[in-house]
Amino acid sequence: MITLKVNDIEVTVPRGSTILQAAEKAGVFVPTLCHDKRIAPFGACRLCVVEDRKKPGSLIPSCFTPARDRMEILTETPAVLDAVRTQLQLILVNHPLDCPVCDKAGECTLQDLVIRYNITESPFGTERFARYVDRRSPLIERDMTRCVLCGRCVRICGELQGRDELEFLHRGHRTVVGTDGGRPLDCDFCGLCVSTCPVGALNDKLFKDRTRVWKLRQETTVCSHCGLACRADFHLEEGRLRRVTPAAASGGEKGLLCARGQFGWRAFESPGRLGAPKLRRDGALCEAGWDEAVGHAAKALDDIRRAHGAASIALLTADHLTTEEAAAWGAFWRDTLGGGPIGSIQAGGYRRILEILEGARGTRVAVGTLRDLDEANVLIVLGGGAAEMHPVLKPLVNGWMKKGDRQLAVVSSWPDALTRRATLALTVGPGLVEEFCAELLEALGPERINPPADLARFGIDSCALARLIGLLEEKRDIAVLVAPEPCGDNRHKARLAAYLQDRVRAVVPLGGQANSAGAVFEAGFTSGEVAVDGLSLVEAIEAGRIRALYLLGEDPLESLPDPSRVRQAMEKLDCIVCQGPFETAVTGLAHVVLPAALLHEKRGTVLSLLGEKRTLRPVLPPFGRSRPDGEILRALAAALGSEAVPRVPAAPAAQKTAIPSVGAVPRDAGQGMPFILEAVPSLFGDGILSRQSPDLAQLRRGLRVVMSAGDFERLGLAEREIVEVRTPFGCARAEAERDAAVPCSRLLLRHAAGSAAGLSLTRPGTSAVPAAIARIGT
Amino acid sequence: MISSVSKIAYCASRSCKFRKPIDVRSLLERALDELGYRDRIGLVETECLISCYQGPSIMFLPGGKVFQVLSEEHFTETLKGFFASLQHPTSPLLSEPRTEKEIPGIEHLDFFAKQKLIVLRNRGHIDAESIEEYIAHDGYLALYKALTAMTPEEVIGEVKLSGLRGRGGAGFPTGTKWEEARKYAAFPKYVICNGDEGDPGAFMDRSVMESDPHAVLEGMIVCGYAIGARQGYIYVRAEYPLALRMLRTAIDRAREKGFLGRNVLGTGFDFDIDIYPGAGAFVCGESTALMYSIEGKRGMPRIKPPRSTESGLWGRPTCLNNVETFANIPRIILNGGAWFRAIGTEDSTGTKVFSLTGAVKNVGLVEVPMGTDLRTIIFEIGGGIRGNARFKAVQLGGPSGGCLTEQHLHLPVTFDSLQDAGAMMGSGGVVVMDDTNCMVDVARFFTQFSVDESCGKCVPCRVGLKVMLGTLEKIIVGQGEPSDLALLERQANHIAATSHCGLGQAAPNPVLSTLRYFHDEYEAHIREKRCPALVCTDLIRFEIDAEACKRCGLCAKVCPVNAISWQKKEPAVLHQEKCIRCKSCIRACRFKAIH
Amino acid sequence: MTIKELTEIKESYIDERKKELEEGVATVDVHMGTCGIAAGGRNVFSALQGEIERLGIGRVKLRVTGCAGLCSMEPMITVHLPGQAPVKYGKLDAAKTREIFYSHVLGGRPKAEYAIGQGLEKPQKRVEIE
Repeated sequence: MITLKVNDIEVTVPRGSTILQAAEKAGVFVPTLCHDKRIAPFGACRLCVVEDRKKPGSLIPSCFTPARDRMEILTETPAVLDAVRTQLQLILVNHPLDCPVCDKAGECTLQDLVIRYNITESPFGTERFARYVDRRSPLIERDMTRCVLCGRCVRICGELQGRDELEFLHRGHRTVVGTDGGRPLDCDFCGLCVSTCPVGALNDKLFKDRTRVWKLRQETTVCSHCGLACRADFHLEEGRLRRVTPAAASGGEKGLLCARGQFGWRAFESPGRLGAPKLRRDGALCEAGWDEAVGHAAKALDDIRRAHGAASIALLTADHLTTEEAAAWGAFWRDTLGGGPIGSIQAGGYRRILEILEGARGTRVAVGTLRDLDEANVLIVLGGGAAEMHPVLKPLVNGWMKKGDRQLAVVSSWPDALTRRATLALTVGPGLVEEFCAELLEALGPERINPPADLARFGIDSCALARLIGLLEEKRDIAVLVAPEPCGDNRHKARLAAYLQDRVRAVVPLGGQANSAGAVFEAGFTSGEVAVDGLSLVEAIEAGRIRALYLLGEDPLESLPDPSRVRQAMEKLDCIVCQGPFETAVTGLAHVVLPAALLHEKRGTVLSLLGEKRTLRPVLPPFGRSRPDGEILRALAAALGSEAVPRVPAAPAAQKTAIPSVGAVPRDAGQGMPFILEAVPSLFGDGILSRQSPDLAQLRRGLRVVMSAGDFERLGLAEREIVEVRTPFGCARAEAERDAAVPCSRLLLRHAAGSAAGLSLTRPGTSAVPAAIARIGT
Repeated sequence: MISSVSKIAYCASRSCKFRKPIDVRSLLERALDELGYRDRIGLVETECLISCYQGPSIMFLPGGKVFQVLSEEHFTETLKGFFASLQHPTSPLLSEPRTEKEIPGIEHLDFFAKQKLIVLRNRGHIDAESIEEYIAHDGYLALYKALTAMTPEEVIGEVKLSGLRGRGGAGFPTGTKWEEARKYAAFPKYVICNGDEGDPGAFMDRSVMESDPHAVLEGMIVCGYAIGARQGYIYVRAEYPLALRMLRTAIDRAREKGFLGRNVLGTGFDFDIDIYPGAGAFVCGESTALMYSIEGKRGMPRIKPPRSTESGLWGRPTCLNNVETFANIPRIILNGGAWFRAIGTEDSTGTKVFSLTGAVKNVGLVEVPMGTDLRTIIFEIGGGIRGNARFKAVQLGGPSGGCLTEQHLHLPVTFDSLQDAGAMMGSGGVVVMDDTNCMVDVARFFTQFSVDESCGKCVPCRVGLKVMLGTLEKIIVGQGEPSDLALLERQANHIAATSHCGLGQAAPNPVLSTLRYFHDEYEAHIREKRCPALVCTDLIRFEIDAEACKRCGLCAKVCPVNAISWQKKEPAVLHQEKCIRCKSCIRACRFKAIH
Repeated sequence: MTIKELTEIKESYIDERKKELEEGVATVDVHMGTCGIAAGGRNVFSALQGEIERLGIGRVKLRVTGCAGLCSMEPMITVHLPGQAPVKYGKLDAAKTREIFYSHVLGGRPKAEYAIGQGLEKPQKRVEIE
């Protein structure tokens, strides 16, 4: 630790801190423009200059100069003030005075500094540059006439998000920030560039021209699009949500959001939002009162329970309940209703992995936290799509990789975002990740059944394999992330993770929804027995073992493959109760519809996948007449009567349907299907909430099939051409996209969730299917 | 002997003033016919064979013996006599070379005699593409000594002892830099040679790379050995195609002979060098920007710490030195650091190469011991001001340097000695100016250069320099106001104090030093709207002073639009409405009669 | 490459040059740095090459070296005749070069009016002589 003085205030900071950090700790204001805590300092604006009493006359930029012991820093000497003033005057030479029409007014760093330093004249004249305004990009408008060339957007996109979408072009006074070739933005739309721009050059189009920032009230809450539960600031104007930004980076907060959090908030007011309870009468759904609807649901459930047993009522949860609600629901389901199977589709993979981890250890498992992630120096990711399921993992991992000798090993069957960043990429053949994990476990496990070298037959470079095994045996600080396949079984990768649990620092299962972690760990909102998932659910319904379905924000029709089969099964059910915020496909089959509030409309706590606990207060009132799930529960419990119902003995554990081992992937079915297609998660979200946002839909553009550049050209396709995709199971139209990283003869299917045609292409348990592409009209 | 002659050359120079009207060719043809040698001996027409007033003459080839043809008569006999007088077939010489006494010895020519060549020791003397020649001139002996008889620490010790400081302009002690790079244990390490030489008017590095590329390679390999690197890069600006070619050839030859590649000289040390051409940016001569450029990124200087010796190219310890610095290394290793230290001054040891250009008689490359004063360089080595002009100023260090006046000519040139006078030695560019240079225009020229080359990262350089340029241009077109001078000074000081890298920090130097020493010239531009040096076109009235006019008519002759009318014995008259202000007349007039 | 091999290269080079000396080979160095080329050095080189070819002479060796340092006098050549001090010429063109070729290179008589100086700069030496 070193001690120095800033404006005669003594302060102690760790060695290696910058002068700016010391000044901050001392509570002294130093102006900055190009500085953002989330990224490395840059030294471009030169506003942060200070003077050292021992070296008068020499101006030191404080944002990157290391503080030294016994320095005596002064921040407001005449030389410093003159330099800052001149600097601001120079910046204003080219800056258009757009304040009256600029959205940033009121929260603009340049404006604040000009006022603070009382710049009232422009002795250097003004010269407005003829720079461009990009209005063509979705969601983000870039007005380069206002750009002060601080470089924050370039750096945050390059360093943190790893996308390098924006770069400085030309040099000197002709410098301008732009994309290659001047094209519209085509990136992750994480919104970090917008969040970092200190002036009004980068604007959120959802917010643009809506209102003034001083009319907004800011509430900090949590994004509920995925289980990372990033903190977000909701900006409200008289009870209406106007925009969402990442919560400021400070303390433990990373200050990150993704496209869903930043730009997906219009889902909350989507036309599909349910505002009133509904009942099915004479085949049609009509609005009803709460008491009536709840009473009806209670009676239906009670009837079925008495007739067929508690085990015949299954509950599927999308884990949008607070921990308190989940605990109450769990208790209710077990004690009052008798404990039918509880499962999840959107968080199915996550829950399955946890189940296996606990099974292996025999006790409640403690999964890794953000701290484990920070301090590990090896990250092993089992399964592809981790950063697509949880986009904020990308900047987290990028930031992590910068800190010294870090290794990122990714086992995946397709080139996902983390594979492209990996120092050790283990890319197996399509659909073979599970099999690989199984065999790797056998190679590593106590029995050492197969020699590790055999594993090269999965398509992995044996050198890379040797390095992976070396890493595992080296006993470094390892964290393992487990990314479930959406339609797969995931048991082998879970078992591998379970084996590694005792030998690594932390295991972090992924794929959880907004409060999956809280529901499972703190609320115990799971079945005592094997949970249901997609295929077993459908089979159980077909076999008549399940007669009623309680859906907490879930929709099997929009999430499971083979939707026609699912629909047939669902139509057999005696009772379907839909309790959720949105009207989706299954609502058309529901018997009772109970509108639920979204997480930010509720009170309670949630737990993120990385072990961070968040406390929520309602930021907005529940939409229409919707109610928090906890309230609905109270009404339901009341309607059922509080008499202790004898607990129906648990039905014999439903045989876990053996999902066909993925090795049985039918290769080319001989019908001219030269491609192998895999469904992969989407950066813009596959969950119901994300799909309700019209802005994210604009980025998705519907079903997408991605192929190699070679195949794209060979087929003679045009950019964004719609093609027909055919598999042995179904047929759909999708937009074709080319990607240099995709190997030949492979297809990646995106955005199938919510699309019946897209879902029909695959089957549960088969993560890779043969496919063919045909141009439409030929 | 006749058999030793295969051809006879005869001079047929049409411009020969002393030529007697003899048709030498027909003479020869007839004579050879008569002697019967016509078929065996060919005739070749040439230019002058001998000092002109002895023409016409003939020369026997291949021997080269020359005979004068004094008369046409009896030429056949004469020719026969010539043949007989031939001695040994290969004796090439005739009489004593007459004019040896007329050609001065190099050691009497100030330009050469006052220089001390270390870096340029092989200049013009060896074929740069021949590695054998370099070896024959003690090439690669230093490498041999370093690799087989010295430890890396000893090599560094010798370099430190020599006191060698970076020749690129910053003057950082080279030995210390190598020592720092050695101490970090992160691999691989890199050696980079900065051959970007962007200063306008500087061509020292170009000359070394073109004429003696192996010296650079040898220096780099020694550096690699000293710091523990296995890979070197030479960053050469793309505007030097010959240097690129010579270096490429040199690297190929060095690889063939085992000076580069694996197991150099059989010592187990691996080192290879690749060339990276630049892409036209002056700012990429700044070391961190240069490293980004090699990495394929945008050439913008980065924040420091960390220093490049700790984390440079691809985040690894990197030792970057200038071409001239590396070219000194072989001699330092061979002759010892103490030998080098004894040359020059105490804190600026060794020699420095300057590219002396501008208004001097002898424009060229000058290598002198550090501490040589400006007067020696400009007036003795440089031969003084050419033409009938007077010395006005000397600009050192290109766009980063300042100018000095007559009162500073006694100053010794070292890294630190010129600072108080507001100038710096820089990388070695020396531009001498006479009274046909306008100092305001000079300041504008260098500022324009810096504006064009600024990378654009930091506000003071990107915006400040442009604003400063605007003020200078305002003054030059005649719209200057008295307050502009204080404004210029303020802008310049701000840019110098707050810029991010050396480009911006030093770019205001030309403005600041010209303001300091030529304040009256600025005043003339602003208050009198007049350019004393007659350079700034908008401030020239284009009037002929009838009293000063010597009526030679030269101006009328050179005017491309016939705007000047002149009659013999009358002063010339300039018609403003036709004048296009090209200044040809001003340049032609030897009497300074046009203003 | 051992020190022995290095020395051998040096010595064989010196031997070759010595042989040339004995045979009376004259060497002409054309200074073709970028400055020389820009001033017209290629014309000088072509002129020399042209004359040598035309006459079919074997005992004149033409070399390209780098800038000799006095750029204001480019194009420059240096003529080395065995037994004579080398002479540097400057401000040449094709015609003047041819004159020097015949007068000095072949005829042994240096052309003073085009010469800058004779001898070599201080540390430089002809390795085959010293």
